[in-house]
Amino acid sequence: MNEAIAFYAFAALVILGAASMLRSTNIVHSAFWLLGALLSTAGIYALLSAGFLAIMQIFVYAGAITVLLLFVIMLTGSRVADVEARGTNTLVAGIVAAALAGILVPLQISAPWRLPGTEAVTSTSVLGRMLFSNYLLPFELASIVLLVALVGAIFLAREEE
Amino acid sequence: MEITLNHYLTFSAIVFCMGLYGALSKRSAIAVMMCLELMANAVNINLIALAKYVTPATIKGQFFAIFVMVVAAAEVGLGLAIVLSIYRQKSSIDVDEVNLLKW
Repeated sequence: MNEAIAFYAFAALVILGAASMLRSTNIVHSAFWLLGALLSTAGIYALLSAGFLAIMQIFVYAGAITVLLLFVIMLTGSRVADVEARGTNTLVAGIVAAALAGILVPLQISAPWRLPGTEAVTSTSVLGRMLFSNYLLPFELASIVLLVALVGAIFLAREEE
Repeated sequence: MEITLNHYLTFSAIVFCMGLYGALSKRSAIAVMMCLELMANAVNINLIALAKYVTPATIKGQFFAIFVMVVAAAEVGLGLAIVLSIYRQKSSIDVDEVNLLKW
């Protein structure tokens, strides 16, 4: 019962944040609504007994990515999220998104999953040990991806002399 | 009333479609990036829910979610650098004005 209340509360917060982000015409407000949606998603992760990922969600998304977005909003000096999206643009986007939702949502509601029904591993130490044994190669590759992205971002964003 | 895997998957499908709508309809490049982040989040909810319910002993999905986060962080860093250099050239971040490669 408590889980149901927490799930619906966090889900409502995420959807409220996303909807307000889409509706807001001031892009700074949009960024803060996105921040709210991302923080509420961390709550959903915690409900799914993924504590480490909930903390990473707050650090990486809410901390780093939102701040980065706000910095670029400041550097480009644009306060307007939409220069009045034209009619056809929103219409086509609405049709595509509604069609996808129409396919996905009934499918997900009725999907008959055969689940093992055992309790999930919750400890972060298991996650860390797996990351440095079974998933060592992807882990190292991820650090290379981040390094390359960092160098590339500095190269692209630097001022021309 | 119990919360099942289907609840989480349905919720993530709704969030994904909201992100898709924004990514297609917004004209500011930064707003498009924000909607992409929302879509990546919806995928992560999916992965973590499946990790808990389908592979509870090995929580495989959580590792995928970690790598999705890594790629999303790299993507937003590079994407915003590109937005900045487009802004320097065109003094605008309207995605409709970046049409040099249009057929």
